[in-house]
Amino acid sequence: MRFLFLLASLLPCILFAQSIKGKIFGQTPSGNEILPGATLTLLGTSQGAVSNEFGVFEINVPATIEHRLIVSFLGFKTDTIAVGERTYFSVYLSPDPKNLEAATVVAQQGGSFISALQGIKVEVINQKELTKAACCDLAGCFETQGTIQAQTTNLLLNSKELRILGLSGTYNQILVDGMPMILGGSFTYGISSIPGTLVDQIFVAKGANSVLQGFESISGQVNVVLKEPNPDKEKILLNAYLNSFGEKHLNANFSTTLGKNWKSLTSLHLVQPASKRDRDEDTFLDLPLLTRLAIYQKFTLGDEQTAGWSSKIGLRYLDEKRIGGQSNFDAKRDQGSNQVYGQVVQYQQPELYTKTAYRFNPQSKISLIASAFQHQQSAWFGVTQYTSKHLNAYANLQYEQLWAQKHDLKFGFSYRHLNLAESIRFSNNDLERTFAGDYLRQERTPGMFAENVFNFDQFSIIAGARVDHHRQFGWQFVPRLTLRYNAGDATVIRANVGRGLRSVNLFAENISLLISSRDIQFAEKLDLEKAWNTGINLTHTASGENLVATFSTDLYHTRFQNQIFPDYDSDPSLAIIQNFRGTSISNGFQFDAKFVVAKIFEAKFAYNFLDVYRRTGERKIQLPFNAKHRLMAAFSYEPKNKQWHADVNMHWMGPQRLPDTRSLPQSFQQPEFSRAFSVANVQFTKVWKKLDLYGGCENLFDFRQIRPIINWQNPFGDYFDTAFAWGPTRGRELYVGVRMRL
Amino acid sequence: MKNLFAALLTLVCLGCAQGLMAQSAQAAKDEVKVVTVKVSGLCCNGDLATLKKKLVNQEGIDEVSADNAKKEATNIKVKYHTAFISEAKIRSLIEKTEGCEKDGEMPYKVKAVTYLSPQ
Repeated sequence: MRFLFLLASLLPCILFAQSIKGKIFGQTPSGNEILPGATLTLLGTSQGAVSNEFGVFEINVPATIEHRLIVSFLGFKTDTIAVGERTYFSVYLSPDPKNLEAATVVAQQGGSFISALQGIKVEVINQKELTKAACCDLAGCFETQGTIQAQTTNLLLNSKELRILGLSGTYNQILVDGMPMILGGSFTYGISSIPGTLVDQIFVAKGANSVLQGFESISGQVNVVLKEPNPDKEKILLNAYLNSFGEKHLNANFSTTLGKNWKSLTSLHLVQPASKRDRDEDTFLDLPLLTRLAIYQKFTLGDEQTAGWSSKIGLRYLDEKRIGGQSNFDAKRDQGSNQVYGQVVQYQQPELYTKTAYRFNPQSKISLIASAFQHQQSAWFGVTQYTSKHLNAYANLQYEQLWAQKHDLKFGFSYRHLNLAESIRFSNNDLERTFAGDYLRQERTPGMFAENVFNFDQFSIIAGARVDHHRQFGWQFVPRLTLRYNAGDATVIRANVGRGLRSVNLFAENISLLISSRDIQFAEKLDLEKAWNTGINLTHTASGENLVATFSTDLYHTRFQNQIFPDYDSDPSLAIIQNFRGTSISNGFQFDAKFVVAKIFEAKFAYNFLDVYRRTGERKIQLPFNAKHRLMAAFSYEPKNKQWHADVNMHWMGPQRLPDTRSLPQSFQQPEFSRAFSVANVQFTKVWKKLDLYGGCENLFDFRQIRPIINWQNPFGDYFDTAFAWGPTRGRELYVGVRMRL
Repeated sequence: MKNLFAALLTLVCLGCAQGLMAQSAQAAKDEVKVVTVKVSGLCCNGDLATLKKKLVNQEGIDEVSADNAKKEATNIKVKYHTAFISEAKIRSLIEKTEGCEKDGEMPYKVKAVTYLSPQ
């Protein structure tokens, strides 16, 4: 009897005894290429497999029945293969031109976060692109594209934000490895803290996107994917950089395997300050003294595509100090002084995040995404002392199921916790400002979300929605919809509509309030910022024998239902903070053209038209510091032997409206519009087997906005304002660097 | 008849390295072999990657791995199915790969082939 039982329990194993193996190829213009990560399903069962890095798969099948395999890979036509008697065979998939663009993204991105984006136009900036400029930090990684514009938010400390559609960086969502790590306290200096050598790829999507990562991302989403440990390819990477101002950067990455399944990447990043410079003789330093230390550690286990557990754990510790202001300012002696003006920011920021997933089969998996950071800052801006402590935690549990072959459903729960304690003091209050005090913001936001991708032959739909419960604002509903239609073989049309929300971290995300000499008036209780974003875009690819041309054009319209921005115009000595429920609009048009000639020469052009304004009564007020017209051109040449490459990019910025200064005394008044200007950057890179040597020049024509600080002669006086930078202030910058790979 | 057709089909597949067939049939007897191919002539950055890519994109090759590229001799380990690709074919593929230094130059030479037991 026991024997029978044993036999019975073995029966399924016997039935599944046969193993078939094979290799999957895709037919591409340059010949057949393997397709790692292709999905196989045994027809009529839930059995499946995924091809490995060599395109090879293995699947156990019941020996008795005649079986058929469905083989699919995005960008190629799904094929059904009758296996017959064979135990090893090759499968060749033919390309599906309608899907090719999405395939590029997916193949490069890998992982599940991406598959949600396939119906959405995503720009990919990969490592190759990142070596075309010095790219010391994230803010410098967008020189060769037109979508994102890095904008200085505080001239004296060189803090920057990334603008999309002309809207402030707070309206887009920056994710690090898919996690919201740059917000609140970490917002102002966050994007500068990620060195280019740690970045694997950057994905940029405009407009309201997927709901999976939250209710924000009104104007777009930037996902910065950091490098994964890869001891086979890049065991050690060393990078040293020096510029003509004397700023030094050092980066070191080490990859190694730990035991059988785990891998580890350790990364060190050090910045040593430049020497003091004041070329325009306004007694203020042209660039701040920056000291930074970052230690990053990543562990990975398995990969998400294979059945079973996979995990990624990231840890980072960041310590940064920035000193700016008058050149004789001594941070130790003079902080808080009302004799010598200076700004000092010092912060520590430990971070932790993980993505852990269990894949049941090729169709389904469950994953937990969790992250936390603490940002602790102590700062002086002239006589204003600002300290803050921001504890942020985020968790997201989601389940993914591919069903009926055409659908991909994801749903789950999320929870966020925000505890932001800020304190403002004045060491001297001759200006009689009233906003000294302690501020505390606490948020506990549980939410749930669902998103389904419908894939049909010619079009796909991504429909998603989420509800979140905000402590102060109650239940909020965020729906989003994306459509993709393939018009012919080489043309894709996409459209999206969606709502976005965000709650304001006033001081943490508006550095301009702290550095200005204005008083702040809180007119009313602040509501959530709310906006609807709609967009349409068209991409067309034309390829000849030696030329591939890609054209892309898009139109986006963002309309705020409620927006919060400091009102500087009503009273020259005040910044009024209130809800603005009137008309506030961003209309953006972008045209991109990219040509790749014989795989060695590449030219890219982008034109942006951004009309960002609000209406008060009959007046149409343009958003300040936004160029209505912007042009970008980038050229690169790399010979076939890949032993060197030369890269040039040029930017032209049209006139920008400046804040209204008519109420200021005559001598401090500024023109209504800034001058149009252009900036060119060049770089030459010599590549050896293990060594790259690069050197270049930023702002080749040495364009500068001279003396950008209003009333610099009297930094503790009434009209002193450092928020008038509309162009480069530091002039030509030469740099050299060396990268070593082992 | 069926066998003859299958054999013919296999031959065609083996003949054209960049086979155009949607699906290929299987030959009578298939064995998995692992060899280490010692190759000389690798010098610049992309050499190893070029060779690996060439091999990996062949039918019947399950795995390709190599230690660091050295000019005198680089060991490339290949796991393959004998019914789909032969050792001779692997050799000739390597030797007929264009280097990345000069157009039309084929700098790689196979110095030795060692058989290992399949894992």
